[in-house]
Amino acid sequence: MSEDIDDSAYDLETELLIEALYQKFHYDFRHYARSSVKRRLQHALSRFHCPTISHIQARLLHENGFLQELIDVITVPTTEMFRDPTYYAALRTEVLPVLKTYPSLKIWIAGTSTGEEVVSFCILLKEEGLLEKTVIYATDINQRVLDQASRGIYDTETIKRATLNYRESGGKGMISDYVSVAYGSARVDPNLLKNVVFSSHSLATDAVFGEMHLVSCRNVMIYFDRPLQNRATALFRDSLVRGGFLGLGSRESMRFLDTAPAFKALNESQRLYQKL
Amino acid sequence: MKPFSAIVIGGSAGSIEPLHDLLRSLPETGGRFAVVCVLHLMNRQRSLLPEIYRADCPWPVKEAESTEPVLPGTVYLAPPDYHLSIEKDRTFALSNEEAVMFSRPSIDLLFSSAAPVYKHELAGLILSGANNDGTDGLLRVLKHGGQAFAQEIATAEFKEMPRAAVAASPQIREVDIPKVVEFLNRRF
Repeated sequence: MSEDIDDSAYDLETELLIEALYQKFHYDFRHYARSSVKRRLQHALSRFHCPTISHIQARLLHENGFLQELIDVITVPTTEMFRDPTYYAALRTEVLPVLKTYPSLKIWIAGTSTGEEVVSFCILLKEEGLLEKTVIYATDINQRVLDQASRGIYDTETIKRATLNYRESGGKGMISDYVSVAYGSARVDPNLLKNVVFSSHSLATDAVFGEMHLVSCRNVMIYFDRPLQNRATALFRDSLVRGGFLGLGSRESMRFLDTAPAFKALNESQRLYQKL
Repeated sequence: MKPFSAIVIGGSAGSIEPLHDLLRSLPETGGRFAVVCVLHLMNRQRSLLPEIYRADCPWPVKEAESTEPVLPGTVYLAPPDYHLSIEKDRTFALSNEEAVMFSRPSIDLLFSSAAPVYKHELAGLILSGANNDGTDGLLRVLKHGGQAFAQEIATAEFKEMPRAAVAASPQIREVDIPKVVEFLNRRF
């Protein structure tokens, strides 16, 4: 935790840094919940041995390559495979049977991070016989995590944790059917990821890029304030075909949002919605 | 003396019962402060605590949701496996950030976020627990002019957490749980 920090100076420096990230680099954190951004900047202070946020700002503006390092600290890469197994179980039983009726499918996973959710989706789609006719668009604001995700290499701990989740989600095989372990790391079968398009996209500044049958965006909007949550869900609404599906994180809800009337709850407890 | 707007409460092992006692003793009428609680729970997916507490608490009890305003006369619990914090505009924010001292939700994180928002209108309370999450958070509450309490060590099932808190500052006072509510009420 923080030591003695002059809160008003710290708040001001935080706002200035957010403005600099936006004006110079078009990374828009202006509508991110401040409590989290400020904690990330605490981490940045110790990571970069900077005494104040203003020092971080100076490095950001004048030092080549520092932007990526800062983005890595500000964005939160905590995810796991088959996180919330009941979500995947509900996708399998309530959503995929409908998607099976389409000749081809487009799925958007927004806020891909290091790709664990993408891998989970690919396994699910393969087991339901849908992978071959699906294109998955995996997007994030951080290009570095997308590069990592596209390599499909994870530590064995990640795979171990995934095993139980996978089973609880109603998995039909074994995780080991899809990954090979060598030299202490696990590689996801490249065939599994061959229909995935990894691409940089910001829910804060970018537009709709295609017509989707399913959008999954989990534990991304919890970092947004309400206006940005409205913007993001409007993008999802405008991307989805009529009757298309939207899946959110277990603590995210359409309830307080302006976009709520465009959706009906398919399974409220699993945060699955369907566009009207 | 200005009235309290909120009390933040943190607990770990052995804290479910004392929190139950506290919630039971909230006044039937009044309710001009918010109660925001972080308990370390083992279950990652779903907690039954809101239902259990709701049965005996005169105030509404719910899990805090993202962007939800923090309202007086309401008891909020952090959802399992998410950090809970309070924004400047007195709304809740949830996060998936890494565990702090092996805990998610983290007591320190909630208290530290609430302290500069509510300043002297805030009270912090640490209950029974077998680690020392919450001590730093209570110090932040004090630093911003709030009041800091720890469950009476003698009555705590696991004493480490209140003991660590009390040892950290002479301004962190040991209290008998029902007395906390009396103290909060006196400020109205």
